[in-house]
Amino acid sequence: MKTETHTQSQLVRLPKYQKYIPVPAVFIILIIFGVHQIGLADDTQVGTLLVVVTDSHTGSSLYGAAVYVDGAYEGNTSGVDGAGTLDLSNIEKGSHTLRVTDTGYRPFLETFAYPGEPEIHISLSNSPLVPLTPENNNSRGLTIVFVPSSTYFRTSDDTVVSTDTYTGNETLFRQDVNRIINDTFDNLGAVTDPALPLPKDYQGRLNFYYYFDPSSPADAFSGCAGTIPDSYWDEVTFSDLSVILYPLYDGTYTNTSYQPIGCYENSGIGHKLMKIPANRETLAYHESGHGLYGLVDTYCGDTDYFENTPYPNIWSSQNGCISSAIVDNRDPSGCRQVQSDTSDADSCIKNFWRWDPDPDIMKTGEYGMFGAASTERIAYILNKSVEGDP
Amino acid sequence: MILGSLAVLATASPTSPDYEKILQIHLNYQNGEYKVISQTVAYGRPPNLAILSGPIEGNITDTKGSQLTVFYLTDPGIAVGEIAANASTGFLTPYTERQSSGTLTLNLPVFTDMQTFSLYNIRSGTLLVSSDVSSTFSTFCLAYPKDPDCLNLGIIPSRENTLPDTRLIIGGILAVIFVAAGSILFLTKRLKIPWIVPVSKPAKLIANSVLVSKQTVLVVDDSPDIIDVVSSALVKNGYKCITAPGGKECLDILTIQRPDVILLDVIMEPLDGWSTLRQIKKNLATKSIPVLMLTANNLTANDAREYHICIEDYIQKPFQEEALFAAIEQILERKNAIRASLVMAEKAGVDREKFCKLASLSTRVLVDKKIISILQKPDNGMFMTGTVERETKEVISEMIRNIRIREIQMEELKNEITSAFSRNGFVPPSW
Repeated sequence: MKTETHTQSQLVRLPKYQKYIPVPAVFIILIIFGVHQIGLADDTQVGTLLVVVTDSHTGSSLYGAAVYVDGAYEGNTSGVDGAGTLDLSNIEKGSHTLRVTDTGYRPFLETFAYPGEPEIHISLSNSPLVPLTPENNNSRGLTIVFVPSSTYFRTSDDTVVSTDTYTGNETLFRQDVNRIINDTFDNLGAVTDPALPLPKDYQGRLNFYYYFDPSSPADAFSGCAGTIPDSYWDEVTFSDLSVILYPLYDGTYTNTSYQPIGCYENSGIGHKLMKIPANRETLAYHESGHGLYGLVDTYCGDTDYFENTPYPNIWSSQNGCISSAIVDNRDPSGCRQVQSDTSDADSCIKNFWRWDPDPDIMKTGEYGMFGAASTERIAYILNKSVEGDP
Repeated sequence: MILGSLAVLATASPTSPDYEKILQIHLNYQNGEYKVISQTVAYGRPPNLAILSGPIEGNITDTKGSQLTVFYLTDPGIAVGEIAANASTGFLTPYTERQSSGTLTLNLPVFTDMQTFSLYNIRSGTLLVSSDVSSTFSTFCLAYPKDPDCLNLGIIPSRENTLPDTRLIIGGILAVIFVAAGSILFLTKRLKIPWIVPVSKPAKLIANSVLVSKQTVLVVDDSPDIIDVVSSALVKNGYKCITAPGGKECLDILTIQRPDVILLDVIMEPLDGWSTLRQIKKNLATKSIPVLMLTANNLTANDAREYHICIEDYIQKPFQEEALFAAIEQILERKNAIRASLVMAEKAGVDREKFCKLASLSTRVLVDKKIISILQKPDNGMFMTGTVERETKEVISEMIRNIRIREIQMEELKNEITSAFSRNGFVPPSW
């Protein structure tokens, strides 16, 4: 109920305007109003526009491409009579944004002015992003995208070598990717603590793609984890982990100047990157331990230590490690400080504690198991990956 | 509300519309300091935030500071690698690269009501960076005004919904002319009405709108007298004026027009001024429009506590014409001055975020002081019970405390900005 009242004295009063105008003025006003409205109508004239969508590679018509104008979905290109066309009606005069998407093609985005040409011809180019797992798995879970490297490393002469092993052979790259997925990412049961089973459908929670664009490949040896061209990051916004796969690490360590065989780097959300060689595939366990599951190195050396809660595999105090072990029904005596294994154990010692028994993949890199602590964290991430709204 | 619930992958079945979007934030970091270098909304899908962990916490909050999403990051610039196993030991040799500076990209989900993005260092409890992301979605909607999320938000109206068909317009005009001509002939010939009629309201508005207008003011009041008086005064003074008889009508107008200032009455029915203000400030497209609240002398402690941060100024009825225009001019001048100073500040290499923070603090301090003076007036409120008086005192002390804190922050920011101007050879602004 309104209680506020106003009196005339409270209000600001203005000088009175001329209160009357001649009747003919009504006609003039109406005519002006009418002309103005007609003008408006001209400004907002609507019309039709034909969108024609073809495959840039084959030139064939594309049926079913989704067409959007100014963000509104207008429909899909038709295969009936229209041969990859969509007739747009009610296009208003002015500038518009046109977006066209189709499965397996790069999205098309352009601004056009209407009225202009009566037809817009669009050639969609193939998307370099190829799904390896069924599409219906992709709404939740973890997304891993493989990218081929155009380089490998040769220890005999300490050289990064350019190669078209992958960039010139998509089939080989795909085969190697599938092998690594089957042998490592989808084979966690073989290297995790059997007492702590992973979600039964964990393989279904991992969504794999590869991105094959020979004109802009990755370079596994530009920086520790390598680099991928910006076009990849622009197009692939949703990867939980991008993996540069290079064909070969030739030889073993004899020189500290050698390039790292594997590496993981976090450059943001959707920008996590690791590299592995195809000829040392078990390294994928260790690097994806960092990149997907947030595990920390357990060897002693120059690396990044932090207590990776929840379910850490590294603790910043002995008490933390012991408490965690007791809570999780593990033997607290397994807690030990991170230090080197050489006879001179004090040569490297860190103020962090670990529990997982040796050989621990997060220590050895290429062999061993994920202990109970690491397995708990892996299971936690796999469970988290499907939580929340799809 | 999170966007893109209907979305599927860009590469999924083309028969399903795909509206999913990401907020992409690019940051620079250097020796532990972070700076947002760009933030955009684009079509795309974000990664899975649920699986992230690390000692840096990020969040996006809405206009009321409520958390819309939270995520975690590890320290950037650290690449942990291994050199291939030494045959003699069988172990990998650690290899780590650390960069104290670089770039960081965050692909995040988009929320219609997102306001602030922040990163915190959990270990030290310090704020690393904070940024206003409210305008990024509005900018996106300028390019995609018919995207369902933009339409739902009412940022840009669909032109086909607001403009009638040409044939209807012409038909309507002809009908109006025909009926009007017939009526006038009838009235003048049969009833002998003189060729003089009162000016109707639409004619008056058309006539006034021909004048060159400075800025557009939306007057919202359910009192036709107030509307009439205020709008006439505004038009007389060169403003373009639009009016709304209530809160709902105000919100309807805001879906199709963006005034430069809103004069909003507090006591209206069914949607009162405070509720209307809440809606205006919730909407990304309208939240930046300055609102000048108009009311009689009954500002309560609760009103002050809840809304003082949202308004640009507060004017009590009865008010003089001069006071009203002074308030409007002050708001517009402040807005323009901030805009102009910002351009200069950017040229001088001053951090945009710091400058905007100073402007925002300065406005809040100004409004808070004005509200305190209203609350402290002996005639504020009709009758104060002991409880109300105590509450009012509490609110006043809280506001005074906040003013002090903000003034200290302002001083620090002024010093920093002044130094930046001087360092880069520019004359510092006179505060």
